[in-house]
Amino acid sequence: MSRRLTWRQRMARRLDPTIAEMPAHRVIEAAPATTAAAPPPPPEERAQDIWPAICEQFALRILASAYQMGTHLEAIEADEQDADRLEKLYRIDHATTRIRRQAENLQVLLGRRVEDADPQATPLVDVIRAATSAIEYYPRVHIGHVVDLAVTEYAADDIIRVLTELLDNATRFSPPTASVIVSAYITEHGSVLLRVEDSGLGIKPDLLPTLNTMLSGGGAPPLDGNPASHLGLVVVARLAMANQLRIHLTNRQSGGTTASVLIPDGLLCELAPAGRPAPGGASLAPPPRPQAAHRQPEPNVTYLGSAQMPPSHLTLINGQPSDDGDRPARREPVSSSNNHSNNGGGTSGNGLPKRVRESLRDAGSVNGFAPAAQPSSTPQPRTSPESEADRQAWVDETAEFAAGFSDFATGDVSTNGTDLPWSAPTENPEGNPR
Amino acid sequence: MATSHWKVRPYVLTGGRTRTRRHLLVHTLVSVPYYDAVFAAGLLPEARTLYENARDTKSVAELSACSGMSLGVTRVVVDDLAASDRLVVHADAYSSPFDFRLLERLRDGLRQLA
Repeated sequence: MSRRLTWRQRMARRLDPTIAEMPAHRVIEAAPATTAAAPPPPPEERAQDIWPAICEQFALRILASAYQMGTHLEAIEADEQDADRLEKLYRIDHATTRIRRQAENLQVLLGRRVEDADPQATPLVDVIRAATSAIEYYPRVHIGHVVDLAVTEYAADDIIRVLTELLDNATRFSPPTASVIVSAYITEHGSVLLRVEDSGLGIKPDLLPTLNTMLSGGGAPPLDGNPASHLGLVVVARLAMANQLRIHLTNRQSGGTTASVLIPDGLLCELAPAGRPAPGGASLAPPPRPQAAHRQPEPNVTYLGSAQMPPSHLTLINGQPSDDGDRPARREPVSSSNNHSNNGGGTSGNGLPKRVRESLRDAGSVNGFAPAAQPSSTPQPRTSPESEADRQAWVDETAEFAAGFSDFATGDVSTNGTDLPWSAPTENPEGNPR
Repeated sequence: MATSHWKVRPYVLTGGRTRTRRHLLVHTLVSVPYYDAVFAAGLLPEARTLYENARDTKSVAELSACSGMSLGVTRVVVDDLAASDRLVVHADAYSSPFDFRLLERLRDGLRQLA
């Protein structure tokens, strides 16, 4: 009897640490006969309730460790001069990145929002490469035509996760030598269509409608023998619901699968001009963008097979005129001028709120503090309708981003903020140490 | 200086490779023989910055700094561009570290600091 009791205690502890202190003997005394046959329901129900919270804690701890590893790795990688050791470091980095991805996915499945460690508006090229970083067979991913737009900071991380899972499926379920091509086009409604093309066997035709309804928010994952085969798509379905992405899988006639993700225009914004984040007037100059092609002949199967292109990690496939002259993609930059105007017309017609032609690098991260032009006026409309406590909380939250500016915000209340924002903290004695 | 998103890992920028065909030292000088704007437009952002910066002769270390890539990544990218003759690696620069041009640049740099 006493042995069974300890076993039960151990089990309860395993299911739910919070009931570890529960006096188990009292339960046994109350109903000795029935508890011997079946465990009492209350702890089990409580364990069910608390299970996601426990999983989330584990996911968070894994994430924290992965972030730590990543920071250290970054420092070592930057310093490493030896090619062999650098390659090993890359392998470790790759594994760490995948650990991070899986921990994030666990959080998504638990219905929790994953905190972005560094929210920032992310160019689509970087979204694609960030997604590529986290999959196992990343060298097989080739970047096709990518439109020069960015994803807003609050959606970028989720879209990276969606694309990661789609790319993972595409590379995992296609021949080990075949490449996977990912590209991004702007549609006439101002949304962006991400396409992931593989040349694998394709999805079973009877399974395809089920998966597509799951991706559009209806129904559970299909119950077939192998739960591992749709792991990623479950995550994708969750994130698609949360961000109103439209995701569709198609089997192509010629073989292979295409996954398309429609990113709504509300989640997109204009890109800061390429190259150096120029201060001041240089950022207003129109960036030279000969590759901003709007529509183009579909990148189809003809060059899916030609996998080996030496500098593929350097170039966008379609814009690469260097070594593969026979590619149809070569013609695209010619049609750039009228496409560019199409691009602009579509956006203005819809009257998108997010299209700003200024440097996002400055404005995006500080979120409300305009970089230089009208610094004293912008925090006011944000803060004035809110209560004092809310405003203070917001200041605290953005403290690390707006390091020198937080003191200014408090100084602004006492209406001495007539000076330039960066001169205000120096009047404040607390502002000096920064 | 990180120009790209923190989730873009360095191994993606090189396709996982770390070795180069030719020996590229920190002070190896590199230049663009003829600038091709269409080619530049087709490059990914970091490589494009590097290519555009190499229009006047620069060392590998300088290119690494201005493109925001680590030295290991920069080497591979320079090597790839050089393999398709988009960049010229100046051979005389790595015969001896006491290259005249290098010393001149060093002197100019020190002067700027002073």
